[in-house]
Amino acid sequence: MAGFKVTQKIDDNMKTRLQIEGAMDEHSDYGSIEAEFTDEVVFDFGDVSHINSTGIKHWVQWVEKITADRPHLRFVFINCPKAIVDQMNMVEGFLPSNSKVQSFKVPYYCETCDKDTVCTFVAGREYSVENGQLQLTIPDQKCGRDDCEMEPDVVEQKYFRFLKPR
Amino acid sequence: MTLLDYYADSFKPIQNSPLYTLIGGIKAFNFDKGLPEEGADLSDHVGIGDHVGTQTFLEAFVNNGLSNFVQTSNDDLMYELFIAAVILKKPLLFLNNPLTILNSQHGSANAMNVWQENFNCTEHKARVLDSIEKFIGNNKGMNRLSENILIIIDELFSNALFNAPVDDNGYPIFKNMERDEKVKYPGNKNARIFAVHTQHDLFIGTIDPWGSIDRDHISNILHRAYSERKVTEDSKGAGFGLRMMLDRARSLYILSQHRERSLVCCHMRLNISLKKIENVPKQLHINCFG
Ligand SMILES: [Zn+2]
Repeated sequence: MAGFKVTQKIDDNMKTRLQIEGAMDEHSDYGSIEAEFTDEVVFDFGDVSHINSTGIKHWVQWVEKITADRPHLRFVFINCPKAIVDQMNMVEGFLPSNSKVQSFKVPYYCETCDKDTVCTFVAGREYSVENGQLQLTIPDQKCGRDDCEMEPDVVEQKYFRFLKPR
Repeated sequence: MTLLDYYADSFKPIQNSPLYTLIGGIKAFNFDKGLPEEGADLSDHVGIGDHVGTQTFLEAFVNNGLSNFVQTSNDDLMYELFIAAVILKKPLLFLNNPLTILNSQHGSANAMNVWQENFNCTEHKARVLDSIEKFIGNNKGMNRLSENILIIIDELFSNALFNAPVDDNGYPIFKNMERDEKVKYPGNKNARIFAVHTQHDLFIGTIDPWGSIDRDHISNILHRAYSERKVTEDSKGAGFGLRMMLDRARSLYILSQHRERSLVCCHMRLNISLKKIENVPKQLHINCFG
């Protein structure tokens, strides 16, 4: 089990990119990140193993503080696993108001074949907001047999709620 | 109305067993016929209903003293009614033989795979998490649920370490400490964390040596977690731990023998989709006694 770790990178567009790894738990400490939070920060949640209730609290409290200090800071989230999407939907303040989810994961499952996979939904490809309306395309996923296919293994009304324009 | 009035036919096969007598006199409150009236005392009832929302039955836990709720629509109705009866009438029997009681739907011939670890301090968490990952290992049914399992283990572990310990006067010892501080149970006390599975069911729980769970307090926390979306500011926990467990389970069993020990256990189903896990109507059983 990997512990909480943050790796800082400057990406091609000179934006700060923070890669979060391991468990977002009681040891998740965002206050110690020595990044320059200027106009935009990209969080890559792709390697988060799980998040516990203390981790939720640490994150929400840090987001609250940093957005109070820097009201113009924009958050971009990429590769959000189900564990993170669940919290975006459940917990107020988990997803800062000035933020964009650039990509997130959707588990797929075929009950007949007991096969599963994970798909990545990307903004502008599977989803977008047009005229204040969410446009969502759920791609097909083959399971290898002709008479059945995998389907998103999430409760769709709940799972995609965070995408709705707020 | 009693449970037998509702399910006489279903219980017929066991009418010569002690179980029948146990379930016999238990009163049922049927949510399908309307919600409990204000002030009604349902502490000796089992709540039943078809797809009753978690928030709805939790209102009755908070306002009417209800401590058991079973969904009539779930495929393990008889098992859940049995569990409700044992928790309501024979809580000590459950605490003394949790694995036997949990496995009772399969009979003793169907062996359970058991994993367990003792712990008494925060430093044991890494070992517990590593160990459960090995237990999950290549079991396909559990592997698909590994994220859910890790979350439940994590929450159970910190509940048992931070919320359960009390001093001689019953005051919490570690409850107000930051969750990243190091704590260790005083004396030689230990808690145990376990996971057991049969072919289709998985139970994950802790037994702690404190017996400090308060029914009203637990009911209020759960009710709040299902009605508000905010993290709590007035306590060190986030207020979501119990909800995170129940969301990922089909039932939650909570037993506490005052100042002796407590059991908190999640019942999960293997080999079904994550969607079904999330959609299954939830069930809850609490008895804090002694
Ligand atoms: Zn298939």
